[in-house]
Amino acid sequence: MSDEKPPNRRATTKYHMPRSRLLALVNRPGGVRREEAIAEATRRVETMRDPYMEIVDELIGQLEATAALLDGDPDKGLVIMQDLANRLITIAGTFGLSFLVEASMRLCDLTQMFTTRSPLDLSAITVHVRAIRLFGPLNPPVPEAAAKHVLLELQRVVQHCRVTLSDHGAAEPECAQSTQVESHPIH
Amino acid sequence: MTVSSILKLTGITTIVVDEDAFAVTLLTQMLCGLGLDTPTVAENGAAAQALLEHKSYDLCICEAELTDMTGASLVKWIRRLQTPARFMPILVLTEYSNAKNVLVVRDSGANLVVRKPASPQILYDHIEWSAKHSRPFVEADNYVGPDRRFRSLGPPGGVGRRETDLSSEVGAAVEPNMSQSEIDAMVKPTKIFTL
Repeated sequence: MSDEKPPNRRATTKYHMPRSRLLALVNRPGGVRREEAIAEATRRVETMRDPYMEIVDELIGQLEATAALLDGDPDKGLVIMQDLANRLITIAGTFGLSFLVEASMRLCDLTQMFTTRSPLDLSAITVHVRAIRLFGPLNPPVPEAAAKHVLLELQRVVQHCRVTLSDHGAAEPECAQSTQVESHPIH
Repeated sequence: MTVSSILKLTGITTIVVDEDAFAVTLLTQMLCGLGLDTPTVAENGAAAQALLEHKSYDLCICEAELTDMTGASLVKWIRRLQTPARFMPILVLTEYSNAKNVLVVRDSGANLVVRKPASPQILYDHIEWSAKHSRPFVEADNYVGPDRRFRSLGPPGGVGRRETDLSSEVGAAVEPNMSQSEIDAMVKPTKIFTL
């Protein structure tokens, strides 16, 4: 029997309580109320709305162009589409384009699924891209009831693809469950 | 009625690490609108490392997926610096499709992980939270960063590991309530003279 003791992990762990410079700074006198600070930040973001709507439209155009070429190199195309959809979520979410955000999230779910599993269902991708175009900021606004109906149908398409891919024997990848991840930040 | 917080955010220096120029511009507008100084922008991990080797910032906002490394790798590198920069609060922004990496990012030593898009409300609340809820800074072999055990959730799965651990469920009272004088006697010890 060996006399060696297992290393004591606790003994090698150090705890500090560093002085928080951030705390010292925010507690200085002469601060601004939360509502005022947020209102000013929101106002500044709103001044950027018009150019950003054009950027969103351009991103949708790139999404359409990539989707059209998906037959050639699907792996590369799916990665590009996922990146574009993520960028759409960021910008559209900032400006409160909730239908566009939802449709882009569903497209992300799909691209994640098809990145790891096959066969690729091009029609499912195409219908999502068309929905994203429909919700584009430079298009006429879609009535709320119709938009919700479209989003529900997109959700069904994603679900259908999930089931179809499962039937092909592939396990559900972690990323395909991302719709269930809490949108709240971690505290 | 809730009391609105008042913070002085001017003079706070931030480093933003993100390659997406559109997202950075929006983030900059939000931070400046809240009152923070115009952030220093690094478009990838290497650029951020070059800046952080020579300068400390009050706050770091980092994208989870950078072109040359992951956000988690950058956070680990920052936490192992030998300068005060390693203690700075780090907020990591993840894209929708990277939300599954939340635990990886947290375990790299980030203070907070937020899914994009960030809004002025979210940023304000997280800056306030990072400033006011200081946590011990842990340095261990496999983890360097703010203490991750800051939520009191009880034993894992609600089940204690010792026989003497009480259940997380509070059952019905088995004795009559104590009187106020009995409670007072417990919290205010008095000398008892015995003959």
